Amino acid sequence: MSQVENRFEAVSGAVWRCLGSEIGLVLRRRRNQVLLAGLAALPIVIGLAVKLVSSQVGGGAGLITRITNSGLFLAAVVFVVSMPLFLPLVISVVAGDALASETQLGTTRYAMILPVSRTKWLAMKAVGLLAFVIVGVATVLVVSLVAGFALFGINGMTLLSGDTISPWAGVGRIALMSVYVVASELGLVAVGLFISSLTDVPIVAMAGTAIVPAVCTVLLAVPQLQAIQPGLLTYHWLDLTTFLFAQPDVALIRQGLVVQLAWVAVFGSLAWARVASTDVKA
Amino acid sequence: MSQADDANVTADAVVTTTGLVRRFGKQVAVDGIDLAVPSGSVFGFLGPNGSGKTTTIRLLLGLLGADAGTIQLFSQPMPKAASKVLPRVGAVVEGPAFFPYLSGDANLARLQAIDKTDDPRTARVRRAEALERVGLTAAARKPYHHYSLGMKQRLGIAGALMRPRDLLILDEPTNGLDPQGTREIRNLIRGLHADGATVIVSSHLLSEVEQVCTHVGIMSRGRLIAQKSMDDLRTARVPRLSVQVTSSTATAARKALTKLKLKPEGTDPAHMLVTIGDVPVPKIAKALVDAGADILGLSVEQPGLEDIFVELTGVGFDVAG
Repeated sequence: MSQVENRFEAVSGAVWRCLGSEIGLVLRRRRNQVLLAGLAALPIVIGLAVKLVSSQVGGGAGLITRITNSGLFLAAVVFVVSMPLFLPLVISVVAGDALASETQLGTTRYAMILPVSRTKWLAMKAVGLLAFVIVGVATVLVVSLVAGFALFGINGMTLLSGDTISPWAGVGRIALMSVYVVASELGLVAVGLFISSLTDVPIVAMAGTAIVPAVCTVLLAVPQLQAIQPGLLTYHWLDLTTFLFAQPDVALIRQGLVVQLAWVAVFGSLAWARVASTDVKA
Repeated sequence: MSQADDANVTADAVVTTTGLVRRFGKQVAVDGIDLAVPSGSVFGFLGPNGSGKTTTIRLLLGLLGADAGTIQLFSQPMPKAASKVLPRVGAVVEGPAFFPYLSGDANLARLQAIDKTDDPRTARVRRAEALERVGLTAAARKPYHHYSLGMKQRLGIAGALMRPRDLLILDEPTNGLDPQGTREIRNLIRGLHADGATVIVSSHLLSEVEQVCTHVGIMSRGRLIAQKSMDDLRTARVPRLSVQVTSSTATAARKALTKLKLKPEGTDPAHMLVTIGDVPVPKIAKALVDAGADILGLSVEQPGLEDIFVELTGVGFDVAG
């Protein structure tokens, strides 16, 4: 009888095994690896373009020309460029897919009858997505730094405020920036999970998720909507440039994080309510 | 048919439902069924496509919520006791489902990894044993999307067999399998039964499971229209005599049978089916010979489940409810 009873006990390390499996599933998937390769290509393409073109044209305005002064700026430029479109698109694909693809395959029902609790199911999906976002942003960070140093050399970084900081301090700034980028995508991950829980057609969930930041960006362009704009998902996304000033605006960063947490709270709860309801569609 | 007649040993039933109802919109998929699956039985859960078998199974496993009624697995309420009960249950529901880009073995490993009660120390061995048991060892490393329908079905069953189970629920386990594969599944079910597990096998093909079942429940249009042990079913069956004669003597043969107060049935006049009743077979044979009928074949037939189903419902088995 004790043998029977033992079968209901959780084995030690079960949580880590489960999360490891989920993260492995996300990162080993060929489609996701292609997306990561796309992210990795971005700094190389921008870096080469700047290197080749600026040597002929020379000068120019804004962030991009600063790359030629310090390779560190390549990472900053890549984050600023990918923040509004490319990165959210990549994340929408993976997040929209998370629950919907398992429902479509039917693997959800086999997980449920193991059993895996609904809350754990959602949590492991969220962790898998978070891992993907972190790996994606880290990929951009590392490739940007390597490409930037290789193409433009390791120089001190002249900030937008005019001060020059050491290369190591510059790496620190860029690293902080990447952490903010990861945090800025959390709301989108929650939105993706919720939309993914609504359907068993992954492509619909992906498109539905990708539309959300696009709509937010459109709303930001309408002055009459000023009252709601600070709460929009994308409102603080480009505030990541504050890390390029000698004194980053901490209040701004805090507001950005609060907005993300609010979106996580709302859409995370909606997703949970959806996943926890009794019927498993597939 | 009163439920009292059908009631099996409810006392040590592994699965019990009372008044179970599930609707999808206006359609009543499961219409108040009282299921009792005795411990240690091989329970054939039979009925045409669309009769509510799969919906019932999904209700049992907590994949669907019931609109009314109660469900007990191992005397514990479902879905409330799911975390206690489901580790004792292995199931294949609505066909196998795995990640197409992972190998069979990797797919099973994934199931083990997310099961918090699965012991990682023995995981690999149990996986290999389950694959061996369904004959998939050679294909274990191949990606799932290269599997044939039959191999997919086998992997689904392997997934249910990775741990010792007290109850196995196999929903249409022979779908997509060739006759050899079907035979293997039957042997597998016999083996599981011999090991002491209770097995519920659903099928819309009666003949496939008839041979392995100790009990059957027959579904039609969301209702459980019969629930009996095979022994009860056999004794309740009335054997029939198949009479085949040359067509020139068919009329004479028919007359002879009618004279014995028998009612020949069947569409072919030269091949009659007769419910024997208490007339001894030799007497029928003699009457036929005396009437000048040239007998080509004379045999007593035990009606199969299919005939019983038609008897119970008045419709053919292939008609979806």
